[in-house]
Amino acid sequence: MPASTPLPPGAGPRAIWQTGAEGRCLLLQGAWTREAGVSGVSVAAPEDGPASDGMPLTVDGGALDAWDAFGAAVLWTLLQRVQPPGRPLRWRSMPAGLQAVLALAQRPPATERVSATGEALPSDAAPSRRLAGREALRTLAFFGEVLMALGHWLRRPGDPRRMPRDELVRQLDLAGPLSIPIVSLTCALVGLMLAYMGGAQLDRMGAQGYIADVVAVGMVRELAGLMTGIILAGRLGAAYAAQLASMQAGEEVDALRALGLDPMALLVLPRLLALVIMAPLLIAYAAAVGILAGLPAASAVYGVSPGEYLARAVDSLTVTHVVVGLLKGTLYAALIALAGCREGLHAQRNAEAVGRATTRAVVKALVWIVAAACGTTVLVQSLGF
Amino acid sequence: MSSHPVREAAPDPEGIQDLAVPLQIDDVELQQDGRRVLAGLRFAVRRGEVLALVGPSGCGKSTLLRHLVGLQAPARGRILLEGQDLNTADDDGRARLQRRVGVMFQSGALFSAMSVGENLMLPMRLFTDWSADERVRQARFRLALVGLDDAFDRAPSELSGGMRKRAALARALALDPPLLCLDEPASGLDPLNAARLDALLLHLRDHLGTTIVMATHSVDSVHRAADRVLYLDDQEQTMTALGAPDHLLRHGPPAVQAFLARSPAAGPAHGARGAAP
Repeated sequence: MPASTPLPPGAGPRAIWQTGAEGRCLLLQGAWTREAGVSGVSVAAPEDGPASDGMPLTVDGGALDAWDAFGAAVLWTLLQRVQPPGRPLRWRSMPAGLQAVLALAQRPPATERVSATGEALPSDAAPSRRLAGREALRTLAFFGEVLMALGHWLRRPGDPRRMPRDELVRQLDLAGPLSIPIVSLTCALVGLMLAYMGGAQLDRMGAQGYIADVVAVGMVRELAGLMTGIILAGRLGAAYAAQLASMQAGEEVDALRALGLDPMALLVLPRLLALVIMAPLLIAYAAAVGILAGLPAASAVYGVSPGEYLARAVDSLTVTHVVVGLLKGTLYAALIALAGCREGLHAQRNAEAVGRATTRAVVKALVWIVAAACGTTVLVQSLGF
Repeated sequence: MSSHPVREAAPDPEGIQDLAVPLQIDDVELQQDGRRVLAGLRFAVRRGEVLALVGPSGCGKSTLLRHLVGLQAPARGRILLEGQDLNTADDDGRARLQRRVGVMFQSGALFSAMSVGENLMLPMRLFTDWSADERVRQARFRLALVGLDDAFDRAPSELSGGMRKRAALARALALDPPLLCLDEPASGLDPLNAARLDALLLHLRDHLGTTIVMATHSVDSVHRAADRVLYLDDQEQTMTALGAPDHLLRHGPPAVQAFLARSPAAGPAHGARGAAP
């Protein structure tokens, strides 16, 4: 083995390759410490000839002045890069402490997850198109499972294993009566705003009398369902996701499955049915509140008498308006329940996932509601309703 | 994949086709998120034994346990519960089989919206025709078995971690299952309660004939309660030893001896990379 190149006192750390009878040797020189600037040390991978095949790679610490944990990390990283797979390492004149530290870290870090077929999986931080496709498939599968659970329940509605009745009653209470205050406030403000803004436009044409038509048709056909859906998404969609994700994190969902029970039947169906049952009632109530809230604006600002306002509101509404509004709102409610339950049941098993599931449930519900509103509006109009 | 043969301490072969054994695992491969966790698993659990699944953290003990109770399906192979394949059974058959297994999860997994007593009575209410009074009596008895006589009306959130685990064990016993699968039953328990829990498991085995499979890190529990040990190796991604603890302690592979002797020095170095000569 040739002698190492002598370093002047105080020279920085470095690593150099030497070749001798024992094969390749990586010679470490200087102080391998943070203060000495060890982070700048680099060395190219050795270009081994056939003679070096199978020979151990020697690391020589004879010229090492000092080392610290920082330097050990640099050396470990460097060895990860230059040591050919399957080729053993041999230490020479290495400080015992450094050798022990490197031995502790001898297992190579798992830098990527690898699938069973050896294909690298995408990391969690960078969801790829494939992940989005997988998410969509999981959502479809979830819808299918819900439909199957619904089918099982319809075949045996009295079976508590298919859906406990007391849980349905509890969810009805949460979805309906407890939502009334916030629905009242929001829809009253929307009705008032609609009357005020609609009146301003109609007033220019002297058609203030039609304010009631604008408010009644707008609230019943579109806005009551939409606003109620948004409120329910924030109030119940988020709650469903948080409840189910917490149960998932605490292995409660697994415990149900281990008992031979179907979480779809016990957890999802009561929430879904509660919202679907309550949604038409809430939407009808919200529409009534919105129409009534438009009355003060129409009467005080635009001089429409209360009697005329109410009469026109009733006259302007048709069965089609009511049915379309209720159906659309009920669809939104179903989507909210599905989004919340889907995110909750598919959450990971940790506390952070609960917050993530809640956020995703609300965002997903709102996107689904807007998409459904757009789609149903086009569909209904094109069908002539 | 492993080049080590599985070392079986008992002389008799594993009898995969024997339908009398409660649980048979036949050339099973397990995956998690598309990644292979364990493969080449082939063993049977004998009726009335305590089998401990041991191995380093992350070797797949809990994953295996989840597969054994039907919460996940194996990527390959068959898991036969009382002779029936969980993954090919229809929904009702699968649910019926699952009710033959009591499961205790690592975190306890008590239903937080219910009291401890209601947690125990839920499976009784859904799957038995016991009267309400009978359910209360049976639930109280099971709580007494695990030393939680006074926890019947308490919420799970009011219990300590160890108490939650014992309550979870009581729930796992609710339907008197012939097979119990326990995930880290001793973790979070003080040594005295851990020893009591092991004594309870032996009592269940000896007097009720319960078969018990437990994933555990506790070597003390293994030596106290396990009839056999199945060692799962995270490097080989398979089982590398199956046998009585005392036998494996003396004649098992080095990693198993090291585990059972609680001595890292006796174990093999993990990989050759960077190893000093």
